[in-house]
Amino acid sequence: MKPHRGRIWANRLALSLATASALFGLTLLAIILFDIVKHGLSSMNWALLTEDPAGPMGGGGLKGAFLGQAMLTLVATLVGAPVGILAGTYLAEYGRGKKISKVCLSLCDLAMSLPSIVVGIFVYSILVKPFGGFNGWAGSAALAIIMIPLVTRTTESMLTMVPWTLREAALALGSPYHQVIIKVVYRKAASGLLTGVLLAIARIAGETAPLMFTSFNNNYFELNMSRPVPSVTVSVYQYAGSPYEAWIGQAWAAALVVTVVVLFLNILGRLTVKWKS
Amino acid sequence: MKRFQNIVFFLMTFLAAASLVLLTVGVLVTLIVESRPGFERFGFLSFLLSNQWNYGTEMFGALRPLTGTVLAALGAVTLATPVALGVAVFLTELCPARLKTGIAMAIELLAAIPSIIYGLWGLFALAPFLEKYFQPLMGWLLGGLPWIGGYFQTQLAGGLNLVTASMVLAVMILPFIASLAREGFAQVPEVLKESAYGLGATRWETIVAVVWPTSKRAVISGIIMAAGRALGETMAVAYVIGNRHGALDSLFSPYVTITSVIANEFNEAGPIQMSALFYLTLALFLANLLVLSLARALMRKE
Amino acid sequence: MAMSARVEKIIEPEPQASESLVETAYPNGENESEPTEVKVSQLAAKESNDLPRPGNEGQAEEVSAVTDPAPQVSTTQAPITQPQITENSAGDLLKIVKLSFYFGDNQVLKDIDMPIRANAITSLIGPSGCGKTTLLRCFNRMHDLYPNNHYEGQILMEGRDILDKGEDLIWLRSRLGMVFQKPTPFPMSVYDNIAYGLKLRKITNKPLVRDLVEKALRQANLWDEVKDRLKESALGLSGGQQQRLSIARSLAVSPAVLLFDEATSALDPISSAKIEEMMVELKKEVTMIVVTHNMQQAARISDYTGLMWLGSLVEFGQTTDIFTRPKKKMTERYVAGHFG
Repeated sequence: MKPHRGRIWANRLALSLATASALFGLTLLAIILFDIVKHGLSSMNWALLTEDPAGPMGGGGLKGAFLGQAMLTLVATLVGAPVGILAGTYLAEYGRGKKISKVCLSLCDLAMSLPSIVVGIFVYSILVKPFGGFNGWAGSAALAIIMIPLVTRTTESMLTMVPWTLREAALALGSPYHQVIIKVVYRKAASGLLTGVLLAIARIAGETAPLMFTSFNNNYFELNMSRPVPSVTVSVYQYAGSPYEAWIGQAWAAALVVTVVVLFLNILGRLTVKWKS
Repeated sequence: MKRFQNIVFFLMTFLAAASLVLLTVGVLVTLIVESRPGFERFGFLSFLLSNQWNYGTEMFGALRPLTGTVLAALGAVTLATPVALGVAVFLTELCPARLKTGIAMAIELLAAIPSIIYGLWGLFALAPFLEKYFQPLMGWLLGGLPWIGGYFQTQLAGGLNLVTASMVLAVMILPFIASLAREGFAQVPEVLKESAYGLGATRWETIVAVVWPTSKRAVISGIIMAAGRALGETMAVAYVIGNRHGALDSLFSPYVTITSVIANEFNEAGPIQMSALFYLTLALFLANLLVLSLARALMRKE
Repeated sequence: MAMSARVEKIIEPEPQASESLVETAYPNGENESEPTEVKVSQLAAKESNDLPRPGNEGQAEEVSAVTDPAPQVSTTQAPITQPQITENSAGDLLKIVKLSFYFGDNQVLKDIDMPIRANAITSLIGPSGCGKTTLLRCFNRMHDLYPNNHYEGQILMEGRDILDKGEDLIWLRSRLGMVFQKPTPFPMSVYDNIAYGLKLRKITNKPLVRDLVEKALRQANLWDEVKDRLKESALGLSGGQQQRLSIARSLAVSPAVLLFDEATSALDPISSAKIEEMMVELKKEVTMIVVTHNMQQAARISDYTGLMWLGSLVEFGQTTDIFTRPKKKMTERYVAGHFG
């Protein structure tokens, strides 16, 4: 009979509760993954990727939506990644330690935390309303706006991690600063920058809310960016809200594809960092 | 020539950084401009305090969507935090090393799953389950209580309600809080923990005396950030909240949040309703700004 | 009641028996220079540490809870505070017997035999990676916090093997305090830091806690510097103060042994000197085992020194002998600074 028996029991109780809640949380998350895979696979077929939408009675696919989403994401990345990297470069290199840099970083955090529906509404009023209708450019712009602060943040922290002496060594050889940044600093931080971009793509590839009021949706294969462009996520949203069994099934299958793509990009991004280090 | 390139590169980076400023200021200004007709019609403050949402008279108020947003987010954080902290404690203090990285990675990946997927799951898996088992149980357990009993009775069937929305949000922010808390706990120096063990403290006592006080700022600010996410989350909520403008007579009644109203009504709104929706968006922007400032102030205060 | 019974037992030990055994126990057997009286008084002093503090008679029960978290109420068991002098060498508080330690399959301590003299400072020296810190962490079973390692052999303390699987680690660690290389103030006030160990033992009587906190801070030579800022965060103290705070925190629960793991290596020379000074003063109350890579420090403060190399104990003896008349060539070369 030890006087601290109570303490030992309190310890066991608390740690058991922690373990139990961990098991509960992990089980819950496993159930979600299981549900997505189960429902997704049961409606999965090639037609989903290769055919145009058919009526609510079954058949057809979401070819246009997949291509549309890929295009929206690609265009957004082509704009968002360079702008994000350049902005991160300014904050980490030219603005390092300056007050302006701190202000920009705070605003970057604010932009990063913006609910994506707010971005959608913002883009609606600057790129949809004035041009008289939903269009693909607006959708890509909304995704790019979500992407820029994410890439800026990772770029800034990756470049800050490159030792300052490396720049001094290169500058001492007589290279101008912009060449030092491009040829030395970027090269040193390359895998980190790539990871930042990949994770940002993963993030925007699954976005729905910013597209609902910008590129909207379209039942047909549409690659003209000045018209409404279909996307998988908005289609999932609309199909899942419909009363038709077949559309709900397609929503699950499309959701599974989106999940797999997003997780794949995430894993790829994380591996990129590991390879280098 | 080189000098010229140097200046061009500098300008490019500067403009890119300036775009961040333009963006955030632009969002705020646009939202204010677009909701001006709303200010004029509903009044700046009275809009926030009005519980009307009448398409016929075109009188709109933000009280219910605001209440719904805050309640759903608070509920989500309350439900998710204990479980997430349990996961984090388990991962940093108890989990065998072999499983540790795998589980931590899995949790980070779950935090990356798009919210529409969580919404889909909530609509087709969670809502029917809650309707069938949880709601009758709560009604039976708490429905008979005086005063508050009614809030636990199911008045409108369907399983789409505030509680379901809170739970979907909770599941969605669970991995987010867990991975932030795990990072916070993992940053506590091993030697600090050892010196508590060295005094004869148990693992739990060490967590209470050393791990938590050392990491609490980071963890709490992470929880606040998670609350911010829950506030602004659209796709996970839009399906399962039910989107019904009515008094909140039960926790198991369909209700509205700011995001659900915007998602469901924006594309079909007339000009006046539109300005009300912009006003709601502005309120969401400000709420998010408030939450973010709170989290940052907490981190900075040392 | 229980207290007075303990007091009687404590003053019982027979000096004669103890003295004769000391001779055989120590490797070089050159203990003649040390008068018997000193040892007996040291022994008594060590035990007095376990007695109620003067002026606190009313709290005797609680004090016994401080020093002896497992009060032996039944008479069939011997009180753990009574040294088992007849079995072990007198004055040896701890005895390492054939100790080996493994990280996984990797043997990092090899067959170590070594006594730890009560109320003395024993230094462990040797090049980095020789296993001295690993050995130190065996005493309070710190290795048990991590998976995939195991002990072989014994460490005897008052007749019991503290490496036993069933050993109560909470009790053990409160008897053997540890001070780390870096100061480890907990994120709380100075006062709460010191009182933390007492709180763990459910000692909550305010005046008593205050007295014990003050005593510990005085022992660690920190009282005068912090007495006006007891309520302030301990994180605001200087590095040297934080380290003495860590020591005071261990002292507050009246440990029998303090384990120092390179405790002054991260400090400036002045702070380091203050701590050395304090350690020498503390000898009358606790036994100390010190891991250091600073040979001058070992020579200055310790009574006994052990040199370790590649997980083995190369030589152990009185500090003066190790530094002036080493028996092994390797010791001679090491203390002369030829390697390590």
